[in-house]
Amino acid sequence: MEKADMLTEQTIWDILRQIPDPELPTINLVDLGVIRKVEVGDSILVELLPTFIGCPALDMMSREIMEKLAPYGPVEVKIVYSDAWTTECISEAGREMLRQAKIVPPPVPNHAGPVGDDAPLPGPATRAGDDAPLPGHPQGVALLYTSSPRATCCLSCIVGPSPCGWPAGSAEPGSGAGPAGVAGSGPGAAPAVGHGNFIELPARASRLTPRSHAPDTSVAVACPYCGSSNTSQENLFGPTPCRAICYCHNCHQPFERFKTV
Amino acid sequence: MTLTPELQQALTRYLLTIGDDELVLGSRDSEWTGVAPMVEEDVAFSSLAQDEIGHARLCYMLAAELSGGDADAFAFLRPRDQFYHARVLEDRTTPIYDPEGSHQGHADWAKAVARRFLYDLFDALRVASLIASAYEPLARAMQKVQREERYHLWHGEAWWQTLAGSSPESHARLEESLRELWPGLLGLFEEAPGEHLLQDAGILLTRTSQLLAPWLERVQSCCQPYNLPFPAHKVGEHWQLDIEPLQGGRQGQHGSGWDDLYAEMTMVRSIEPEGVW
Repeated sequence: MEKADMLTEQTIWDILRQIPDPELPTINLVDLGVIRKVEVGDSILVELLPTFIGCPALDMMSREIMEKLAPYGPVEVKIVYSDAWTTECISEAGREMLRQAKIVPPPVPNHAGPVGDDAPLPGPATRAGDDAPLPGHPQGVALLYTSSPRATCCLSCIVGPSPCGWPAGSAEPGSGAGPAGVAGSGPGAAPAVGHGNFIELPARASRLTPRSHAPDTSVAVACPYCGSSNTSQENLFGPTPCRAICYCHNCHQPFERFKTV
Repeated sequence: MTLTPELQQALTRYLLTIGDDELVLGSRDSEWTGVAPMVEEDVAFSSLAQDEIGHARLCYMLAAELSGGDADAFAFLRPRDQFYHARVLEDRTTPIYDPEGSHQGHADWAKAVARRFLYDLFDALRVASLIASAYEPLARAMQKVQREERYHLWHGEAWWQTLAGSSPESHARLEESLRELWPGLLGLFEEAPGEHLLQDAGILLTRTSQLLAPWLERVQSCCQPYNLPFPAHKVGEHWQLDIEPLQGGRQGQHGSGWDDLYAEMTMVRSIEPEGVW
Protein backbone atom coordinates (compact mmCIF):
# COMPACT_ATOMS: atom_id res chain seq x y z
CA MET A 1 0.00 0.00 0.00
CA GLU A 2 1.21 3.46 -0.78
CA LYS A 3 1.85 5.93 1.93
CA ALA A 4 0.00 9.18 2.00
CA ASP A 5 3.11 11.22 1.35
CA MET A 6 3.84 9.26 -1.79
CA LEU A 7 0.41 9.79 -3.15
CA THR A 8 0.09 11.90 -6.20
CA GLU A 9 -3.08 13.40 -7.49
CA GLN A 10 -2.69 11.25 -10.56
CA THR A 11 -2.86 8.14 -8.37
CA ILE A 12 -6.11 9.37 -6.88
CA TRP A 13 -7.56 10.09 -10.32
CA ASP A 14 -6.63 6.57 -11.39
CA ILE A 15 -8.34 5.09 -8.36
CA LEU A 16 -11.44 7.19 -8.90
CA ARG A 17 -11.53 5.96 -12.46
CA GLN A 18 -12.31 2.53 -11.04
CA ILE A 19 -15.53 3.69 -9.40
CA PRO A 20 -18.57 3.16 -11.59
CA ASP A 21 -21.46 5.57 -11.57
CA PRO A 22 -24.05 3.94 -9.29
CA GLU A 23 -26.92 4.42 -11.72
CA LEU A 24 -24.95 4.01 -14.91
CA PRO A 25 -22.25 1.48 -14.05
CA THR A 26 -20.97 1.40 -17.60
CA ILE A 27 -19.17 4.69 -17.05
CA ASN A 28 -16.85 5.69 -14.22
CA LEU A 29 -17.01 8.87 -12.22
CA VAL A 30 -13.94 10.44 -13.80
CA ASP A 31 -15.03 9.93 -17.40
CA LEU A 32 -18.53 11.05 -16.52
CA GLY A 33 -16.87 14.30 -15.52
CA VAL A 34 -18.34 14.60 -12.06
CA ILE A 35 -14.97 14.73 -10.30
CA ARG A 36 -14.15 18.40 -10.37
CA LYS A 37 -10.93 18.46 -8.44
CA VAL A 38 -8.55 16.26 -6.49
CA GLU A 39 -6.12 17.65 -3.95
CA VAL A 40 -3.63 15.69 -1.92
CA GLY A 41 -2.48 17.41 1.24
CA ASP A 42 -2.88 16.50 4.89
CA SER A 43 -5.98 14.79 3.68
CA ILE A 44 -7.34 13.84 0.29
CA LEU A 45 -9.92 16.28 -0.99
CA VAL A 46 -12.26 15.24 -3.77
CA GLU A 47 -14.75 17.69 -5.22
CA LEU A 48 -17.85 16.18 -6.74
CA LEU A 49 -20.24 17.88 -9.17
CA PRO A 50 -23.81 16.60 -9.25
CA THR A 51 -25.21 15.90 -12.72
CA PHE A 52 -28.62 17.02 -11.51
CA ILE A 53 -28.98 18.81 -8.19
CA GLY A 54 -31.58 16.37 -6.96
CA CYS A 55 -29.56 13.33 -7.97
CA PRO A 56 -30.29 10.74 -5.29
CA ALA A 57 -27.02 8.91 -6.00
CA LEU A 58 -24.86 11.73 -4.62
CA ASP A 59 -24.59 10.30 -1.14
CA MET A 60 -23.80 6.89 -2.54
CA MET A 61 -21.06 8.33 -4.77
CA SER A 62 -19.53 10.17 -1.82
CA ARG A 63 -19.59 7.03 0.26
CA GLU A 64 -17.93 4.95 -2.43
CA ILE A 65 -15.21 7.54 -2.93
CA MET A 66 -14.58 7.62 0.81
CA GLU A 67 -14.39 3.84 1.02
CA LYS A 68 -12.15 3.49 -2.00
CA LEU A 69 -9.72 6.15 -0.83
CA ALA A 70 -9.83 5.34 2.88
CA PRO A 71 -6.68 3.16 2.77
CA TYR A 72 -4.68 6.15 1.52
CA GLY A 73 -5.46 8.58 4.29
CA PRO A 74 -8.21 10.79 5.60
CA VAL A 75 -10.64 11.69 2.83
CA GLU A 76 -12.98 14.61 2.41
CA VAL A 77 -15.61 14.60 -0.32
CA LYS A 78 -17.14 17.95 -1.06
CA ILE A 79 -20.22 18.26 -3.22
CA VAL A 80 -19.93 21.45 -5.23
CA TYR A 81 -23.03 23.33 -6.29
CA SER A 82 -21.36 26.56 -7.26
CA ASP A 83 -20.17 25.15 -10.53
CA ALA A 84 -22.37 23.45 -13.05
CA TRP A 85 -21.70 19.99 -14.43
CA THR A 86 -22.65 19.95 -18.07
CA THR A 87 -22.75 17.16 -20.58
CA GLU A 88 -19.60 18.65 -22.04
CA CYS A 89 -17.77 17.34 -18.99
CA ILE A 90 -18.10 13.75 -20.25
CA SER A 91 -14.76 12.66 -21.69
CA GLU A 92 -14.37 11.13 -25.13
CA ALA A 93 -13.60 7.81 -23.45
CA GLY A 94 -16.76 8.26 -21.42
CA ARG A 95 -18.81 8.88 -24.52
CA GLU A 96 -17.48 5.63 -25.96
CA MET A 97 -18.46 3.81 -22.75
CA LEU A 98 -21.99 5.14 -23.12
CA ARG A 99 -22.08 4.03 -26.76
CA GLN A 100 -20.94 0.56 -25.75
CA ALA A 101 -23.86 0.41 -23.34
CA LYS A 102 -26.20 1.50 -26.17
CA ILE A 103 -26.86 4.86 -24.57
CA VAL A 104 -26.54 7.68 -27.05
CA PRO A 105 -24.04 10.22 -25.71
CA PRO A 106 -24.91 13.89 -25.81
CA PRO A 107 -23.93 15.65 -29.02
CA VAL A 108 -20.44 17.04 -29.22
CA PRO A 109 -20.55 20.79 -28.97
CA ASN A 110 -19.26 22.41 -32.11
CA HIS A 111 -17.25 25.00 -30.29
CA ALA A 112 -14.09 24.76 -28.32
CA GLY A 113 -15.20 27.07 -25.58
CA PRO A 114 -14.44 26.72 -21.92
CA VAL A 115 -16.23 24.25 -19.75
CA GLY A 116 -17.33 24.90 -16.23
CA ASP A 117 -16.88 28.28 -14.70
CA ASP A 118 -16.60 30.32 -17.80
CA ALA A 119 -18.78 28.33 -20.09
CA PRO A 120 -21.59 30.37 -21.50
CA LEU A 121 -25.01 28.82 -21.24
CA PRO A 122 -25.54 26.96 -24.42
CA GLY A 123 -27.50 29.03 -26.85
CA PRO A 124 -28.48 28.60 -30.43
CA ALA A 125 -25.18 29.87 -31.66
CA THR A 126 -23.05 27.42 -29.75
CA ARG A 127 -25.24 24.43 -29.91
CA ALA A 128 -26.08 22.43 -32.93
CA GLY A 129 -26.87 19.67 -30.55
CA ASP A 130 -30.01 17.83 -29.84
CA ASP A 131 -31.61 20.18 -27.41
CA ALA A 132 -30.92 23.27 -29.44
CA PRO A 133 -34.51 23.97 -30.41
CA LEU A 134 -35.45 25.13 -26.93
CA PRO A 135 -33.27 28.19 -26.64
CA GLY A 136 -33.45 28.79 -30.32
CA HIS A 137 -36.75 28.44 -31.99
CA PRO A 138 -39.50 26.87 -32.64
CA GLN A 139 -39.39 23.25 -33.61
CA GLY A 140 -38.74 22.65 -29.93
CA VAL A 141 -41.86 20.93 -28.83
CA ALA A 142 -44.05 18.76 -30.92
CA LEU A 143 -47.73 19.02 -30.43
CA LEU A 144 -50.15 16.22 -30.43
CA TYR A 145 -52.94 18.24 -31.85
CA THR A 146 -51.93 20.58 -34.55
CA SER A 147 -55.35 22.17 -34.81
CA SER A 148 -54.76 24.16 -31.65
CA PRO A 149 -54.40 27.92 -31.85
CA ARG A 150 -50.93 28.90 -32.83
CA ALA A 151 -50.17 32.09 -31.06
CA THR A 152 -47.94 30.29 -28.62
CA CYS A 153 -46.41 27.68 -30.80
CA CYS A 154 -43.44 27.06 -28.62
CA LEU A 155 -41.76 27.94 -25.39
CA SER A 156 -39.91 30.80 -26.93
CA CYS A 157 -43.19 32.49 -27.74
CA ILE A 158 -44.15 32.39 -24.12
CA VAL A 159 -41.01 33.08 -22.22
CA GLY A 160 -38.95 35.06 -24.64
CA PRO A 161 -36.26 34.46 -27.16
CA SER A 162 -34.03 32.54 -24.83
CA PRO A 163 -35.20 31.12 -21.53
CA CYS A 164 -31.58 30.61 -20.59
CA GLY A 165 -30.46 34.02 -21.55
CA TRP A 166 -32.80 36.52 -20.06
CA PRO A 167 -30.85 39.56 -19.11
CA ALA A 168 -30.81 39.29 -15.39
CA GLY A 169 -32.14 42.68 -14.55
CA SER A 170 -34.78 42.53 -17.20
CA ALA A 171 -37.48 41.12 -15.02
CA GLU A 172 -37.98 44.61 -13.67
CA PRO A 173 -41.53 45.39 -14.62
CA GLY A 174 -41.34 49.14 -14.62
CA SER A 175 -43.79 50.22 -17.24
CA GLY A 176 -45.62 46.98 -17.02
CA ALA A 177 -44.22 45.85 -20.28
CA GLY A 178 -42.32 42.62 -20.41
CA PRO A 179 -38.56 42.43 -20.14
CA ALA A 180 -36.80 44.03 -23.00
CA GLY A 181 -35.76 40.74 -24.45
CA VAL A 182 -39.32 39.56 -24.60
CA ALA A 183 -40.82 42.62 -26.14
CA GLY A 184 -41.30 41.07 -29.53
CA SER A 185 -42.91 37.93 -28.26
CA GLY A 186 -45.63 39.29 -26.07
CA PRO A 187 -49.26 38.80 -26.78
CA GLY A 188 -50.35 40.45 -29.95
CA ALA A 189 -46.84 40.66 -31.29
CA ALA A 190 -46.56 39.46 -34.82
CA PRO A 191 -45.30 35.89 -34.95
CA ALA A 192 -41.65 35.72 -35.74
CA VAL A 193 -40.32 33.95 -38.74
CA GLY A 194 -40.56 30.23 -38.35
CA HIS A 195 -43.66 30.16 -36.20
CA GLY A 196 -46.23 27.60 -36.99
CA ASN A 197 -43.60 24.99 -37.56
CA PHE A 198 -45.72 22.30 -36.04
CA ILE A 199 -44.69 18.75 -35.96
CA GLU A 200 -47.00 15.92 -36.75
CA LEU A 201 -46.32 13.01 -34.51
CA PRO A 202 -45.98 9.60 -36.07
CA ALA A 203 -49.13 7.56 -35.96
CA ARG A 204 -47.90 5.14 -33.36
CA ALA A 205 -47.17 7.87 -30.92
CA SER A 206 -49.81 7.73 -28.29
CA ARG A 207 -47.84 9.64 -25.76
CA LEU A 208 -48.39 13.15 -24.71
CA THR A 209 -44.82 13.83 -23.86
CA PRO A 210 -42.70 16.62 -25.22
CA ARG A 211 -40.87 15.53 -28.31
CA SER A 212 -38.02 17.37 -29.76
CA HIS A 213 -35.99 14.90 -31.63
CA ALA A 214 -35.59 12.82 -34.69
CA PRO A 215 -37.36 12.37 -36.94
CA ASP A 216 -39.35 15.33 -35.75
CA THR A 217 -36.52 17.77 -35.99
CA SER A 218 -33.62 18.46 -38.24
CA VAL A 219 -31.14 16.78 -35.95
CA ALA A 220 -31.58 13.04 -35.82
CA VAL A 221 -30.53 10.82 -32.97
CA ALA A 222 -29.03 7.71 -34.52
CA CYS A 223 -30.18 4.40 -33.12
CA PRO A 224 -27.30 2.83 -31.16
CA TYR A 225 -28.36 -0.63 -32.32
CA CYS A 226 -28.86 -0.30 -36.06
CA GLY A 227 -27.63 3.20 -36.80
CA SER A 228 -30.89 4.31 -38.36
CA SER A 229 -31.88 7.90 -37.91
CA ASN A 230 -35.55 6.99 -38.15
CA THR A 231 -35.98 7.45 -34.44
CA SER A 232 -38.17 9.48 -32.15
CA GLN A 233 -38.10 10.55 -28.58
CA GLU A 234 -40.62 8.76 -26.44
CA ASN A 235 -40.04 10.52 -23.18
CA LEU A 236 -37.81 13.41 -22.27
CA PHE A 237 -37.72 11.94 -18.78
CA GLY A 238 -36.03 8.59 -18.43
CA PRO A 239 -34.98 6.27 -15.63
CA THR A 240 -32.70 8.93 -14.17
CA PRO A 241 -32.93 12.71 -14.53
CA CYS A 242 -30.03 12.77 -16.98
CA ARG A 243 -31.46 10.30 -19.50
CA ALA A 244 -34.29 10.37 -22.03
CA ILE A 245 -36.04 7.48 -23.76
CA CYS A 246 -36.10 7.11 -27.55
CA TYR A 247 -37.45 4.58 -29.99
CA CYS A 248 -36.06 3.29 -33.27
CA HIS A 249 -38.70 2.88 -35.94
CA ASN A 250 -36.33 0.86 -38.08
CA CYS A 251 -35.31 -1.94 -35.70
CA HIS A 252 -38.15 -1.32 -33.23
CA GLN A 253 -35.79 -1.03 -30.33
CA PRO A 254 -36.29 1.42 -27.49
CA PHE A 255 -33.07 3.04 -26.36
CA GLU A 256 -31.81 5.81 -24.10
CA ARG A 257 -29.90 8.94 -24.77
CA PHE A 258 -28.07 11.24 -22.43
CA LYS A 259 -29.80 14.59 -22.06
CA THR A 260 -27.92 17.76 -22.78
CA VAL A 261 -27.56 19.84 -19.67
CA MET B 1 -19.33 39.58 0.46
CA THR B 2 -19.82 40.44 4.13
CA LEU B 3 -23.39 40.66 5.25
CA THR B 4 -24.77 42.70 8.10
CA PRO B 5 -26.86 40.70 10.57
CA GLU B 6 -30.02 42.26 9.11
CA LEU B 7 -29.09 41.24 5.59
CA GLN B 8 -28.09 37.81 6.75
CA GLN B 9 -31.45 37.36 8.40
CA ALA B 10 -33.37 38.65 5.40
CA LEU B 11 -31.43 36.46 3.00
CA THR B 12 -31.91 33.38 5.14
CA ARG B 13 -35.62 34.01 5.17
CA TYR B 14 -35.67 34.58 1.43
CA LEU B 15 -33.75 31.35 0.77
CA LEU B 16 -36.18 29.45 2.97
CA THR B 17 -39.04 30.97 0.98
CA ILE B 18 -37.68 29.65 -2.30
CA GLY B 19 -36.74 26.32 -0.74
CA ASP B 20 -40.22 25.93 0.76
CA ASP B 21 -41.92 26.64 -2.57
CA GLU B 22 -39.81 23.95 -4.17
CA LEU B 23 -40.10 21.43 -1.35
CA VAL B 24 -43.86 21.73 -1.06
CA LEU B 25 -44.58 21.58 -4.79
CA GLY B 26 -42.09 18.74 -5.19
CA SER B 27 -43.77 16.81 -2.39
CA ARG B 28 -47.28 17.36 -3.72
CA ASP B 29 -46.39 16.56 -7.31
CA SER B 30 -44.61 13.38 -6.27
CA GLU B 31 -48.05 12.10 -5.26
CA TRP B 32 -48.75 11.60 -8.97
CA THR B 33 -46.13 8.86 -9.14
CA GLY B 34 -48.07 5.79 -10.20
CA VAL B 35 -51.36 7.54 -10.93
CA ALA B 36 -50.46 9.97 -13.71
CA PRO B 37 -52.38 9.57 -16.99
CA MET B 38 -49.75 7.27 -18.50
CA VAL B 39 -46.61 5.53 -17.43
CA GLU B 40 -44.30 7.95 -19.25
CA GLU B 41 -45.94 10.75 -17.36
CA ASP B 42 -45.41 8.94 -14.07
CA VAL B 43 -41.73 9.08 -14.83
CA ALA B 44 -41.75 12.64 -16.15
CA PHE B 45 -43.75 14.19 -13.34
CA SER B 46 -41.79 12.27 -10.72
CA SER B 47 -38.61 13.51 -12.30
CA LEU B 48 -39.79 17.11 -12.12
CA ALA B 49 -40.78 16.60 -8.51
CA GLN B 50 -37.38 15.14 -7.73
CA ASP B 51 -35.67 18.14 -9.30
CA GLU B 52 -37.68 20.48 -7.07
CA ILE B 53 -36.76 18.57 -3.93
CA GLY B 54 -33.13 18.86 -5.02
CA HIS B 55 -33.50 22.60 -5.52
CA ALA B 56 -35.09 22.87 -2.10
CA ARG B 57 -32.15 21.07 -0.57
CA LEU B 58 -29.77 23.43 -2.31
CA CYS B 59 -31.62 26.48 -0.94
CA TYR B 60 -31.62 25.00 2.56
CA MET B 61 -27.90 24.33 2.29
CA LEU B 62 -27.28 27.94 1.31
CA ALA B 63 -29.44 29.06 4.21
CA ALA B 64 -27.56 26.73 6.51
CA GLU B 65 -24.21 28.16 5.39
CA LEU B 66 -25.47 31.62 6.17
CA SER B 67 -27.08 31.04 9.50
CA GLY B 68 -25.21 28.04 10.81
CA GLY B 69 -28.24 25.79 10.73
CA ASP B 70 -28.64 22.41 9.13
CA ALA B 71 -30.36 21.73 5.78
CA ASP B 72 -32.28 18.70 7.06
CA ALA B 73 -33.45 20.62 10.09
CA PHE B 74 -34.74 23.38 7.83
CA ALA B 75 -36.64 20.82 5.80
CA PHE B 76 -38.11 18.68 8.54
CA LEU B 77 -37.73 20.20 11.97
CA ARG B 78 -39.24 23.64 11.59
CA PRO B 79 -42.58 24.40 13.23
CA ARG B 80 -45.59 24.29 10.96
CA ASP B 81 -45.99 28.07 10.77
CA GLN B 82 -42.36 28.73 9.90
CA PHE B 83 -42.69 27.49 6.34
CA TYR B 84 -43.07 30.29 3.82
CA HIS B 85 -44.26 28.68 0.58
CA ALA B 86 -47.15 30.16 -1.36
CA ARG B 87 -50.41 28.55 -0.34
CA VAL B 88 -51.36 27.42 -3.83
CA LEU B 89 -48.57 24.85 -3.74
CA GLU B 90 -49.71 23.00 -0.64
CA ASP B 91 -52.98 21.53 -1.90
CA ARG B 92 -53.28 17.95 -2.97
CA THR B 93 -54.15 17.43 -6.65
CA THR B 94 -54.45 13.64 -6.53
CA PRO B 95 -57.35 11.68 -5.04
CA ILE B 96 -56.75 9.71 -1.88
CA TYR B 97 -56.63 6.18 -3.15
CA ASP B 98 -59.09 3.61 -1.89
CA PRO B 99 -58.60 0.00 -2.97
CA GLU B 100 -62.36 -0.52 -2.97
CA GLY B 101 -62.72 2.20 -5.57
CA SER B 102 -64.33 4.97 -3.58
CA HIS B 103 -61.39 7.35 -3.89
CA GLN B 104 -61.74 10.52 -1.93
CA GLY B 105 -61.06 14.07 -2.82
CA HIS B 106 -61.48 16.32 -5.79
CA ALA B 107 -58.52 15.95 -8.08
CA ASP B 108 -57.67 16.70 -11.64
CA TRP B 109 -54.63 16.24 -13.80
CA ALA B 110 -55.45 19.55 -15.48
CA LYS B 111 -55.08 21.26 -12.13
CA ALA B 112 -51.70 19.64 -11.51
CA VAL B 113 -50.51 20.66 -14.98
CA ALA B 114 -51.78 24.22 -14.70
CA ARG B 115 -50.27 24.75 -11.27
CA ARG B 116 -46.92 23.32 -12.25
CA PHE B 117 -46.60 25.16 -15.53
CA LEU B 118 -47.68 28.54 -14.20
CA TYR B 119 -45.47 28.08 -11.14
CA ASP B 120 -42.55 27.14 -13.38
CA LEU B 121 -43.06 30.32 -15.41
CA PHE B 122 -42.88 32.26 -12.14
CA ASP B 123 -39.86 30.31 -10.98
CA ALA B 124 -38.07 30.85 -14.30
CA LEU B 125 -38.37 34.60 -13.82
CA ARG B 126 -37.16 34.36 -10.24
CA VAL B 127 -34.20 32.19 -11.16
CA ALA B 128 -33.22 34.39 -14.11
CA SER B 129 -33.16 37.39 -11.82
CA LEU B 130 -31.19 35.65 -9.07
CA ILE B 131 -28.42 34.69 -11.46
CA ALA B 132 -27.29 38.30 -11.29
CA SER B 133 -27.37 38.39 -7.51
CA ALA B 134 -24.44 40.06 -5.79
CA TYR B 135 -24.44 37.12 -3.38
CA GLU B 136 -22.29 34.80 -5.41
CA PRO B 137 -23.18 31.42 -3.86
CA LEU B 138 -26.81 32.11 -4.72
CA ALA B 139 -26.06 33.38 -8.21
CA ARG B 140 -23.96 30.35 -9.05
CA ALA B 141 -26.42 27.87 -7.62
CA MET B 142 -29.20 29.40 -9.69
CA GLN B 143 -27.18 28.99 -12.86
CA LYS B 144 -27.22 25.29 -12.23
CA VAL B 145 -30.91 25.33 -11.38
CA GLN B 146 -31.72 27.17 -14.60
CA ARG B 147 -30.20 24.45 -16.73
CA GLU B 148 -32.60 21.97 -15.19
CA GLU B 149 -35.65 24.17 -15.24
CA ARG B 150 -35.55 24.40 -19.02
CA TYR B 151 -36.88 20.86 -19.08
CA HIS B 152 -39.72 21.80 -16.77
CA LEU B 153 -40.90 24.59 -19.01
CA TRP B 154 -40.63 22.36 -22.00
CA HIS B 155 -42.76 19.70 -20.38
CA GLY B 156 -45.31 22.13 -19.01
CA GLU B 157 -45.77 23.90 -22.29
CA ALA B 158 -46.47 20.68 -24.18
CA TRP B 159 -49.12 19.69 -21.66
CA TRP B 160 -50.66 23.13 -21.58
CA GLN B 161 -51.09 23.11 -25.33
CA THR B 162 -52.41 19.58 -25.25
CA LEU B 163 -55.05 20.27 -22.63
CA ALA B 164 -56.01 23.72 -23.89
CA GLY B 165 -56.23 22.74 -27.51
CA SER B 166 -57.30 19.15 -27.84
CA SER B 167 -60.90 18.54 -26.77
CA PRO B 168 -63.80 20.44 -25.22
CA GLU B 169 -63.50 18.34 -22.09
CA SER B 170 -59.79 18.96 -21.60
CA HIS B 171 -60.33 22.66 -22.22
CA ALA B 172 -63.20 22.78 -19.74
CA ARG B 173 -61.16 21.03 -17.09
CA LEU B 174 -58.23 23.36 -17.58
CA GLU B 175 -60.58 26.32 -17.41
CA GLU B 176 -62.18 25.12 -14.20
CA SER B 177 -58.78 24.42 -12.67
CA LEU B 178 -57.58 27.90 -13.54
CA ARG B 179 -60.60 29.51 -11.89
CA GLU B 180 -59.77 27.60 -8.73
CA LEU B 181 -56.07 28.36 -8.93
CA TRP B 182 -55.91 32.07 -9.76
CA PRO B 183 -56.13 33.50 -6.23
CA GLY B 184 -53.43 31.14 -5.03
CA LEU B 185 -51.23 31.64 -8.08
CA LEU B 186 -51.37 35.39 -7.61
CA GLY B 187 -50.31 34.73 -4.02
CA LEU B 188 -46.94 33.54 -5.36
CA PHE B 189 -46.00 37.20 -5.69
CA GLU B 190 -46.30 38.04 -2.02
CA GLU B 191 -42.94 39.30 -0.81
CA ALA B 192 -40.86 37.79 1.93
CA PRO B 193 -39.99 40.23 4.74
CA GLY B 194 -36.76 42.05 4.08
CA GLU B 195 -36.79 41.91 0.29
CA HIS B 196 -36.33 45.69 0.15
CA LEU B 197 -33.12 45.39 2.15
CA LEU B 198 -31.86 42.65 -0.12
CA GLN B 199 -32.69 44.68 -3.19
CA ASP B 200 -30.85 47.72 -1.87
CA ALA B 201 -27.80 45.52 -1.31
CA GLY B 202 -27.93 44.11 -4.85
CA ILE B 203 -28.56 40.60 -3.55
CA LEU B 204 -32.00 40.67 -5.07
CA LEU B 205 -32.41 42.46 -8.36
CA THR B 206 -36.12 41.92 -8.55
CA ARG B 207 -38.44 41.67 -5.59
CA THR B 208 -41.01 38.89 -5.76
CA SER B 209 -43.86 41.33 -6.30
CA GLN B 210 -42.03 42.83 -9.25
CA LEU B 211 -42.14 39.51 -11.05
CA LEU B 212 -45.91 39.79 -11.36
CA ALA B 213 -46.05 42.04 -14.44
CA PRO B 214 -43.70 40.01 -16.61
CA TRP B 215 -45.43 36.85 -15.44
CA LEU B 216 -48.83 38.20 -16.41
CA GLU B 217 -47.49 39.07 -19.86
CA ARG B 218 -46.35 35.53 -20.40
CA VAL B 219 -49.40 33.90 -18.90
CA GLN B 220 -51.70 36.04 -20.97
CA SER B 221 -49.97 34.81 -24.08
CA CYS B 222 -50.76 31.27 -22.92
CA CYS B 223 -54.40 31.95 -22.08
CA GLN B 224 -55.59 34.34 -24.74
CA PRO B 225 -55.14 32.13 -27.81
CA TYR B 226 -57.14 29.39 -26.14
CA ASN B 227 -59.83 31.63 -24.73
CA LEU B 228 -58.93 30.65 -21.19
CA PRO B 229 -59.80 32.80 -18.18
CA PHE B 230 -57.17 35.33 -17.14
CA PRO B 231 -57.07 37.17 -13.81
CA ALA B 232 -56.06 40.69 -14.86
CA HIS B 233 -56.51 43.41 -17.45
CA LYS B 234 -54.40 46.30 -18.53
CA VAL B 235 -55.11 49.90 -17.69
CA GLY B 236 -52.72 51.91 -19.78
CA GLU B 237 -49.35 50.35 -19.23
CA HIS B 238 -50.22 48.75 -15.92
CA TRP B 239 -51.86 45.54 -14.93
CA GLN B 240 -54.94 45.60 -12.77
CA LEU B 241 -55.89 42.39 -11.03
CA ASP B 242 -59.49 41.23 -11.29
CA ILE B 243 -59.01 38.63 -8.60
CA GLU B 244 -57.88 39.04 -5.01
CA PRO B 245 -54.61 37.18 -4.38
CA LEU B 246 -54.60 34.56 -1.67
CA GLN B 247 -51.70 35.69 0.49
CA GLY B 248 -50.28 34.85 3.88
CA GLY B 249 -48.09 31.95 2.81
CA ARG B 250 -44.92 34.02 2.92
CA GLN B 251 -45.83 34.91 6.52
CA GLY B 252 -46.29 31.29 7.52
CA GLN B 253 -50.09 31.27 7.31
CA HIS B 254 -51.40 28.18 5.58
CA GLY B 255 -54.49 26.11 4.97
CA SER B 256 -55.65 22.58 5.55
CA GLY B 257 -53.62 21.25 2.62
CA TRP B 258 -50.51 22.19 4.56
CA ASP B 259 -51.79 20.54 7.76
CA ASP B 260 -51.96 17.21 5.95
CA LEU B 261 -48.70 17.54 4.09
CA TYR B 262 -46.77 18.84 7.08
CA ALA B 263 -47.98 15.95 9.23
CA GLU B 264 -46.89 13.47 6.60
CA MET B 265 -43.56 15.12 5.81
CA THR B 266 -42.49 15.35 9.41
CA MET B 267 -43.89 12.04 10.63
CA VAL B 268 -40.65 10.07 10.65
CA ARG B 269 -38.60 12.97 11.97
CA SER B 270 -40.96 13.60 14.82
CA ILE B 271 -41.02 9.92 15.81
CA GLU B 272 -37.24 9.56 15.55
CA PRO B 273 -35.53 12.95 15.18
CA GLU B 274 -32.04 11.54 15.10
CA GLY B 275 -32.87 8.47 13.07
CA VAL B 276 -30.57 7.51 10.23
CA TRP B 277 -30.74 4.70 7.73
